[in-house]
Amino acid sequence: MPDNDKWIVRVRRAPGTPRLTLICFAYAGGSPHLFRSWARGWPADVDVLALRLPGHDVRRREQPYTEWKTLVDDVSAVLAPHLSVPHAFYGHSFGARVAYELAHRAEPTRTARVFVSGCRSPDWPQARPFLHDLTDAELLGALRAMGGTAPEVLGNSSVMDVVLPTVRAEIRLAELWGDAHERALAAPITAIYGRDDAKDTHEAMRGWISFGGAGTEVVGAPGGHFFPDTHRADLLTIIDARIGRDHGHD
Amino acid sequence: MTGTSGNPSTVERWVIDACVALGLPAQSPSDDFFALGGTSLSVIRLVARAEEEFGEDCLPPDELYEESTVRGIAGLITRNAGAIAERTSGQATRRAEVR
Repeated sequence: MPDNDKWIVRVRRAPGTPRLTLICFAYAGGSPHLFRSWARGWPADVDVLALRLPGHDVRRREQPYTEWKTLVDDVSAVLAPHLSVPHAFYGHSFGARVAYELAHRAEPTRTARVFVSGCRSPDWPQARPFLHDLTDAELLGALRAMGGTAPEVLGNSSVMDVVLPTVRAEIRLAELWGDAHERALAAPITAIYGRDDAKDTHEAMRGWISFGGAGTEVVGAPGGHFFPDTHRADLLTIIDARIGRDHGHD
Repeated sequence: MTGTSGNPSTVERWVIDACVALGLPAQSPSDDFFALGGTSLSVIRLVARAEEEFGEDCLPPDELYEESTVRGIAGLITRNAGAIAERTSGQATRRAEVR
């Protein structure tokens, strides 16, 4: 259990046995604590937890993952107790890729839905040049241009010395990720793009339609690439409507 | 040293209050800033508050990443603020001697 605490941030705990556990994954370098603001507004029987990968906050001395296979092996083992009961995944950008990969390992009938936002479909080409190959100064410039990270964080070299290696490692995994599965997921996918996202546009995300089971959809939300931060309520409305619907709780 | 820069438990109290003001539910000296929900942005905000209260450079972020319990953070502030006070009073003494 103490080892699980290291991996899992409990955002919201249902009072009894949860009907559904929503498992959340942050964008590259994003803290699992970003999901703490998601604690309120769920049906009483929904558990919400966020994954804490090596290289993040209390695990900042651990090396971030460099290979998808080890990441997915380790995380599916840690999450096993949650994957054998009804659950849904949510992830943004790098986190969306983690969500999709884990869904391929989960018990197919137990995954209610996979929510992916701000993430190209697996078959859509990754933009070049790769950010993960940039120098530190160039990468900082790219992060600044992308938004999503507070300028005072990006401007503090002492903080960025600690944070940047994890950001780079997770961006690298995101950039090297592609279509590696022979079959589509059995579970339905809701792919959500920010209508003002210049990177993961509707065009880059509409391919998700062929990667999930019946009920897979591609929907737009207001905002740019970091719309989950800037338009949180809109995103939660989309998720909440479907978590209810998939379980006949409308 | 601790005598001149304040009682450590007072500084711990200050760190707990500062964490709570940042939305991190700190209660005891053994609580860890990052386990409570601290992010890079909250590091920067805590450092700014500490500098306002205890002087510039009293809480370097890289040291906070190494010592992130309430007790550890209070220890850093106490040590660094003490060193700053010593440096400043040394300068004052030298200035006085010149006069």
